[in-house]
Amino acid sequence: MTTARDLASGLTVIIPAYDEAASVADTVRSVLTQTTPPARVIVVDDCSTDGTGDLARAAGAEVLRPAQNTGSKAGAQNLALAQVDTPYCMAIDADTTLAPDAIELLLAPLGEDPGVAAACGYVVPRHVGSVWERGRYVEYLLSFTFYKPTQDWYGHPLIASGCFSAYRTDRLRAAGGWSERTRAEDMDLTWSLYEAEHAVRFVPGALCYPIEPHDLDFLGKQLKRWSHGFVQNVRLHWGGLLRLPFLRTVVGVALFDAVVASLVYLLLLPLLAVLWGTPLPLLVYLIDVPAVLVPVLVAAHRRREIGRALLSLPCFFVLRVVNGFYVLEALWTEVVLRRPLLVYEKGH
Amino acid sequence: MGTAGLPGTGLGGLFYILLALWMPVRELYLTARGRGDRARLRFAMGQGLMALGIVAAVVLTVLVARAVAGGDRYAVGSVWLLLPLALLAALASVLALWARLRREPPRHRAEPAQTTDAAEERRRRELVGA
Repeated sequence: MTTARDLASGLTVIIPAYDEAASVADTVRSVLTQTTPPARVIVVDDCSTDGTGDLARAAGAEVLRPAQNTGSKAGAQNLALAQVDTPYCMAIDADTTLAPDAIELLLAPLGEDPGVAAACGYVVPRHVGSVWERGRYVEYLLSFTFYKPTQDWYGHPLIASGCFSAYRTDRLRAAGGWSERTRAEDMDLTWSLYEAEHAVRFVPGALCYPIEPHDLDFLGKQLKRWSHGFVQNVRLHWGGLLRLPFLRTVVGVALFDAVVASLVYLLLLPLLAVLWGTPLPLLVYLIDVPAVLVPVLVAAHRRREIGRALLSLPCFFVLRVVNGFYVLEALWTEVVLRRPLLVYEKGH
Repeated sequence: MGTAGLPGTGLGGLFYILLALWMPVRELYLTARGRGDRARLRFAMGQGLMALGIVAAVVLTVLVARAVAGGDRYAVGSVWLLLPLALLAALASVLALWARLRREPPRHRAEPAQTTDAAEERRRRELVGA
């Protein structure tokens, strides 16, 4: 029987980093102090200007520094992938720390089922202070407590999140590694694995804590990347997704929802409020507060964070409206103007 | 990326509620057939209960909205329930029909690939529809 230590001894952790001096050491340390530490930790110092590589090395990681910036997170990860000689590898963002048993739990489905090509964990923002961090906190509680576990039960978690996911190295290489053809390389890779008839699992007990955008400028760059990445991946993978009944319905409904609701949120409701001379139409923004509250409170109760969740709830609805703007922008730019977003910009 | 943070018409939420409500039904059926798993059943019951909680919250919201807005109670209640279900069924049907019409030959497992610049360029052109 393969033990957790056996699995971890066959694991390489890849951490892409560009100017992550503020967080990379914490990330490396959280990986090296796991209940089952990996065989190797490779930080790709993508030509940082703030000493990221030195800090990562001092914390105990191997450091790769390319001759020139690779241009994207995917590029940096692929550079390290070429050096991986273990059966499993894992991608972790340089601003993400892990719960002490996260790697042990995340590798379990890979050890149990040879059909599983990737596994993803549960994401909770490390800091919950600003409006945007609070909104993201509620969004993740909702997503990782209700949506993602349901997707997993039906065999298809929508995305193995790029901030913390584990892979069988051979299947990852067969899929071409992390492609730079879209701005959401994690979604691209996950859907490519499904099209190749591999399985992906969600492990709710494997916790990671990324640093989320704390201001609108940083958030805007992230949402722009995610929104464009979503549209790019739908266009790229639609033919393949059509063969997968569950995924085609999930993605199709999500796309329909996002388009119609974004138009309603950003155009119709404000217009009605002005035309009718009453703010009553704006109540629609909050119509699903009770519905959202149910899974969020379930998650918050499990984490003993009910107060934090209740305080953060209004921020989710603000974030959602902002998100709608970026969805419409992405659809307009990618589909109508045919100007795909090609530049990867993290934003910090 | 979390699509939970995207604006929604409620169709997406309704879809997941239906999925979650089906889970315990399916697990109980498998248990009755001797093919069940306790952990999966417990998990499915939890998701199903959460979905019921969401439904109860939606019903409460509708009742409060009707009380505030007035109007014919029965008609408003039916529309709230039937229209989203009909829309979801129509959308799922369109997607299924699209898949059937587009039927592609089954793909084989990907061979170990050596991604070339030409292949990447082709994908980029594919992305922009050129």
